[in-house]
Amino acid sequence: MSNKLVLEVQNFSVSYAQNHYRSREVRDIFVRFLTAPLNLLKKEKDRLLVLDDISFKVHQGDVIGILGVNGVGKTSLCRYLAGIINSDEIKFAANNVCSIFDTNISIYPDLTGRENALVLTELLYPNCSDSERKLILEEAIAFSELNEFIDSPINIYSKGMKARLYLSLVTAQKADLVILDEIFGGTDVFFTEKFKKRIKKFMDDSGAVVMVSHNVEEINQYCNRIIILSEKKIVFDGSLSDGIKKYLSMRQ
Amino acid sequence: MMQKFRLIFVLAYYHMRARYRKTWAGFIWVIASPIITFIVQAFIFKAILKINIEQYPFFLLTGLMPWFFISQSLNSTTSCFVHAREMLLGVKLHPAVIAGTQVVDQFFNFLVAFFIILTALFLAGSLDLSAMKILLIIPSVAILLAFVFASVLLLSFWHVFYRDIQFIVQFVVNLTFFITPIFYSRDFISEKYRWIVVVNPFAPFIKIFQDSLYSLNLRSWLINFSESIFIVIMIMALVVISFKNKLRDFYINV
Repeated sequence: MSNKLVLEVQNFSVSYAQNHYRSREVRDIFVRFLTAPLNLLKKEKDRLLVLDDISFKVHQGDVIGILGVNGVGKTSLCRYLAGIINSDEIKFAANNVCSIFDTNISIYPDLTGRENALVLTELLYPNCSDSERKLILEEAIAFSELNEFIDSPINIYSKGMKARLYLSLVTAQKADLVILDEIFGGTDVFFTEKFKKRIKKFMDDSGAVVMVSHNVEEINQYCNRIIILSEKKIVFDGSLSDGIKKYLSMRQ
Repeated sequence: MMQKFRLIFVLAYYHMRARYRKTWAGFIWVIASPIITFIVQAFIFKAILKINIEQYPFFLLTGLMPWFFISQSLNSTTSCFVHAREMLLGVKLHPAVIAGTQVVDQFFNFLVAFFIILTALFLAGSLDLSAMKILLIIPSVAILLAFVFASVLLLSFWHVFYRDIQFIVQFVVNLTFFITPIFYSRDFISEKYRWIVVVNPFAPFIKIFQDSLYSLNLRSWLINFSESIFIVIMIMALVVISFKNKLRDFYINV
C-alpha cells in the first residue's frame, strides 16, 4: 500500500440544529413571538450531535468500508468526504473526487435519458473538455444498455433504468478518491453482475475508495480496511478481518 | 469561477428546454403574459384612470418590465433549492449555480418581452433613444440582474429552513407593486408619504430604468444607481453570513 495521503479528517464533528425540525415556518415563529416573546430570546442549546471529534487519514490504495447502524452518520460523513459540503476539518490532497449517493437521480424528468446524461456529464466532469465529455457520454450510454429507451423521457424510466444510466456515467473515468454510499441494489441481477466488474476495475484504477454498505459480504469482497462508527465516534479503524469480526460481535 | 458560469448557462439551457419541451405555447405564454399585462395596464391607467404622464405607454414599460423580472423571479424561484434536492445532495455543486440557472431563465424571458415591446413602441414612433440612454441602460440591467440573483439566493436559502417564505414573498411582492412608483410617477406622491419610496428596496431599481430609458436624468440616475449598488451589497452580505453560518444545516434541511 502506498503512503501517499489522499484525505485527512481531523477533529471533525457534525451536528444539526433541531429547532428547524420543530418549526419550519416563519408564521410559527411569529405566533410564538406573540404568545411567549421571552422564550425567543433564550438561547437554546439545541444541536443534535451526530459525529463527535473523529479523525482518520485516507491513503492511496485504501479501500475503506464504513460500517455502522442506521443514523450513525455514515452518509453525512461521506457527503463531507465527497466535498459536497465543505468543512475546514477535512483536508483534500486529491483533486478529483467521485461520489455516488442516490442512484435514482434524474435532473430534468421531462427530458430524455440522453439529455439528462448530458447534464450529468457536465456536472460530474467539469474539468474535461467537450470532446472528452462526449466520449464519456457515448461509452456510458453503450454500457447502460438502455438502447432505444435512451431517447425517451426519463420520467418513464424505472428506478433500475435510472440507476443503470447514472452508475454507467459516474464510473466512466477513474478518480483520485471515490465515495460509494450503498450503490448496489436497484438494478436487475444481470446488470448488477456486469456493473460489479466495472466498479471493481473503477476502484482498482482509482486512488482510494471509501465505501458504505450494510452488506458485510460486499465489504469483504472490495475493502482492505474497516472503520466502524458507533455512538458518534470511531470505535474501530483497522484491518478487514478484525473489523468484520468486531462489527458482527457488536450486532449480537 | 468560469466553470460555474459555464454550468449556469448549460443548466439554464436544459432547464428551459425541459420547461418548453412539451409545447411552444409554454414559452409563448411566458413572453405574452407581461406583454398582455403591459397593454391592459397601459389602457386602464391612461384611458380610464387618465394618469397624466407624457408618452405613458413608454413610461409604464420602463417601470413594468424590470418589475416583471423582479416579481417573476422572486415568486417562482424561491423554492429552487428544495426542488433541486437530488442534485445538491448527489453531486458537488454550489447552490449559487442552481439559483443562477433560475435567474438566467427568467432574465431571458425578460429580455425577449422587453425587446418585443421596445420594437413595437419604436415602430409606433413613441420611442426616443439616444446614445446616452443606451449607455445608461447597460449598467441598469446589470445591477438589476445582480439584485435579482442576490435576492433569489438569499430567499431560496432561507426557504430551505422556513418553507412558508415562498408564500410570504408572493404576498409582499404583490403588495409592493402598489407602493412602488411603476404605473405612476414619484411626483404623484405627497411629501407625507415619500418615506414609503425611500424605504422601498425595489424603488431605485425601477427608477434607474425610468431615468435612463424614459426621460434622461443623469443626476437622479446616479443617486438611484448608487442606492441600488448599496442594496445589492447589503443583500450579498446577508447571503455570505447565511451561507457561512448555516450551510451545514442547509444540507440536512434541503
